[in-house]
Amino acid sequence: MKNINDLLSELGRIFAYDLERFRDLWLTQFDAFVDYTMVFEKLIYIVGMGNPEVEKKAVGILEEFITSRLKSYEEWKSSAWLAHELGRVISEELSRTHAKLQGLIPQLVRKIREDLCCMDLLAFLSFDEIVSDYSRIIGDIVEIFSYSKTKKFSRSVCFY
Amino acid sequence: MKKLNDLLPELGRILAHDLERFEITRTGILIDYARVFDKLLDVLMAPYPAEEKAVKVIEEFISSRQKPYGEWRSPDWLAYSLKQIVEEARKPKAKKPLAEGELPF
Repeated sequence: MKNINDLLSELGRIFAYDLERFRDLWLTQFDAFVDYTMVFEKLIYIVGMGNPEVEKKAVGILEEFITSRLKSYEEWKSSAWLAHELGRVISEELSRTHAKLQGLIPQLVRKIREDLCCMDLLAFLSFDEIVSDYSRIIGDIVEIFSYSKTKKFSRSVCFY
Repeated sequence: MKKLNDLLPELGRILAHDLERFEITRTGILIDYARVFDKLLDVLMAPYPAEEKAVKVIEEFISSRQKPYGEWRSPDWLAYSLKQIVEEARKPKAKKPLAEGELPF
């Protein structure tokens, strides 16, 4: 099966072609330019996610976009469609990860309680260590839910 | 002088060409160009004369591609130059000093 890398050169050619055909329609060209900038950013984001399933979906969408350009004009998929579809794939994946992370929070709370017991009973872990470790973890969780940073997401899910 | 919309198709063709010639690291090239396009959108929002300056920089980038390989400008260079233009255009202008006896309002 093809990957994103294999399809990029064809996408680049379509991008150049669209900018050319809208050369005299500044606003339309600008719209297309914004769409493609979003498309490229979303593709980079998807590659950064490192999830083969997400990449597979993105490849399917890219292939649909590219093959539509071989059909009659009425059947062409637009750059706005491409940006929207890639965004949908990303947000689906992020919602799944959010849900997974949310499901893991009770386990985290249990672990904090266990560690606090160890501190009380066995003096096994120092108070400073527990407080600084967990405050960092909780800070990260808050950040994840606020900004949806992919890398931090996947790392946290693996960690917990 | 050329306008930005006259230059964008050529910029697109150079992107397509670069994506074609780098078989394995196309995503890396895409990252460089995504930065260029992002800065270009900033240029369009920036006050005059950011767009005029950007046209010159893009022309320099495009014409460097007609020269020997050693003289090619990289997309990194282009992104950096556009960033400089945006920062320069956004810098608050120094106020004219008050003339003697002039009130500041």
